[in-house]
Order: sequence, then structure tokens, then C-alpha cells
Amino acid sequence: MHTVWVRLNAVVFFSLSVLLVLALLASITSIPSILGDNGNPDHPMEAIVTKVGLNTFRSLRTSGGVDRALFSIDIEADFEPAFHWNVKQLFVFVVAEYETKKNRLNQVVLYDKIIESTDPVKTISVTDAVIKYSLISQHKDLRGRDVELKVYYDTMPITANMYMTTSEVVGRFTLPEEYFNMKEEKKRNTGGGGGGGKGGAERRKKRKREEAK
Amino acid sequence: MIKGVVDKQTSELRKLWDNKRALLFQLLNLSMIVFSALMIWKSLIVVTKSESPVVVVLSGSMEPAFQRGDILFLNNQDTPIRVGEIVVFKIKDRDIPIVHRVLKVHESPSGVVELLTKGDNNRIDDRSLYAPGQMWLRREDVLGRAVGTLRYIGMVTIMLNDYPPVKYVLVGLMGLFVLTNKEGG
Repeated sequence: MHTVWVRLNAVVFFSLSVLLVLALLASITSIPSILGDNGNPDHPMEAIVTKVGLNTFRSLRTSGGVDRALFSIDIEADFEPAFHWNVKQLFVFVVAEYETKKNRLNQVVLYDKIIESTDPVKTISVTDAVIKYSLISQHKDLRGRDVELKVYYDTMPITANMYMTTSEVVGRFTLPEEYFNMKEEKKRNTGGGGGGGKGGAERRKKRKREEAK
Repeated sequence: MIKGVVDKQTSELRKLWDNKRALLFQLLNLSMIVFSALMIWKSLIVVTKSESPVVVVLSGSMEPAFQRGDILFLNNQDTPIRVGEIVVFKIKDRDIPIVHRVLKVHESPSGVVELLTKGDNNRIDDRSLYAPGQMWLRREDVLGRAVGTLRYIGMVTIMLNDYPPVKYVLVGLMGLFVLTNKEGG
């Protein structure tokens, strides 16, 4: 009575709907409020950004004079509590937020890291690391600016909605009124010696790369 | 077995051709399926406010978050776009939309927002992908932000687009079977 095709059709569609229902159930179980403490965005996340050290601070002539600041930062954070069975990865990033005359909100990512559920270590621990992305503003407007640092993480599930979690302000600093160059500073201190050293050379290379963009 | 199926299909078609009432009914059936699919798509557009609520990831630039062949569901509500969100945007004069993460947000007092994006798996930001001379993305370039994914299903779409004949054969076969399917007829 029923041909192979009718049967095949029925089987395929039935299994598709079962999969869909399972996916829906999975996403319901990972709604933060249902999960309770585990995976709850309110869970106290010990993200600490300490010791923001300014390396260079200048105006980029090649990019129309926009301001750029390069930092080294220390980050200590444990993201183990944010993981539950339906998390594929976390995308963690540190953002500099500030207000300028031309913009009521500026958000610039300084550092990011992907923590996958398969990674054995779910902490971020960097000391005196040059930030991944330098703080380049949209205009020449960074001198004397108050900047707040926040840690965000985007929870990306295996099957469910993605959701973003924000920390409180984890760091706050004011940029100097004058442009600033660590290398020249060192030169001045050592009486025009070699200066910079390995770190300086790396930074120089990095700057070249930045400007190449 | 295939020969049997082919014979059966041709005899069914011949029967249909003889019985014009049944033919009309099956044609109506077919168009109903097509139009319901269209209706679902259009209502999704209305609900999500995005001109393309479902997209397929075509490149590996967002790995390991999304792989080639994943399906993304988009939402394009008017809430302001913030840093870290994954947006799908379209560059002028380019057909294929790009899925990347927002790296910088600059919002003017009047609410005009300018964005810079970057793929998680790319080393540098997207300025080189934008139109020549374009420094920032505007809100109107963004088709929507990604809210959820389904793995692998998009591979079907990628296959159909890479090998157009497969598409015509598949669609033709499906149409044929709907026409000759006796269920409900």
C-alpha cells in the first residue's frame, strides 16, 4: 500500500521533529534561572584587572591623527563557574569604555580569549601582557580621558540561545594630558643609551604592524 | 528497484493526466506547500525585523564558535548594538553577508552608531573587507545579530549552491513525489 518513498518521508520528518524537540528541551535546561547557581550570570565571577601600565600614547598621523594608547595589563579570572553541560565555549573580552564630546559611548576591546569546554584550564592569568588590541580612538580625543575597564563574556552553547554577561567596572584609570613614550622615557633616564631593549623592539614591531593596517 | 519506482511514477502521472480533477487537486496541494514555506519565511522577517532571518555560515572565520555549514538565527530589533555581539552585515556592492564579532562601538549623542568588526579566527580587523575607503559599519549595514545556531544543517544549502544541477534534480523529484503522492488525495 505505502511505497518506500512514503515510508522514508515519514521516517525522515519524524526524526527531524524529534531532533527539534530535543534541541528545544536542551535550550530550556540552559536558561540561567533554571540552572540555578551553576551558569548563573549573577554568579560572582572573580575577574580582576590590575596594574594597567601605559606603554606608549600618541597621535597616529598616518590615520588622520587619531589617538592611540598601548597598555600592559594583569588579568586574573576564573571562569569555571560559568560552564555547564550545554556550553561549547566562552568568549571572554576586556573592554575600555569612555565618553567623549563627539560620542556618548565608546567601547573598544583591548583583550579577548576563547575558553572552550574541552580546555583543561578555565582560568585567565596573564601578567604584564601587552594588550592584544591597542586602544585606538575614533578621533584625537584620548588625552586626559577617564576610562573604565569591564570584563564581558559571551556564552556560546551547543544548542540554545547565546547570552552575554557583563561584569561591574573592574578597573578605572585616567590617561595623561601629554603624549607619552616609554622608549623615549627610558632613553632620557639612561642618558640616550640603547633604550627599549627586547620589549621595545617588540613594541616597535607591533606598532609597525598596527600602522600597516 | 529504481526501475520499479520509475514505472510506478510514470503510471501514476498518466493516471493523473487522465483525471483532470485529481491533477488540479494535486497541483493545489503542491502550491500550498510552496506558499506555506513562503509564509513562514515572510512572518519570520516580520517578527525578527531582519530581511534575512536565517543565514548559513560560509567561512571558517568565526571558528571555533561557528563552522562552515552552521545555520544562524538572526534578530534585528532596534536595541543598540554593543561590543562583543556577533552581527551579520552586508557591504555595498557585495552579495554575500559576513558574520563577525563587534570589536569597537562609537555612538554619537544623536544615536548614530559606528562599528568595527573582526572574525574570531582572523588575525586583523575587517577594514580590508569593507568597501574601499570605508572605515566603519553603520546600523543600516547590519542585517541582524546572531541569537542562536543549529549545527551542520546548512551543509545542505552549501552543497546545493556549489552544485546547481543537484538543486534542480532534488526540487524536481520533490515536486514529482508531491504530485503523485496519494496521501490525503
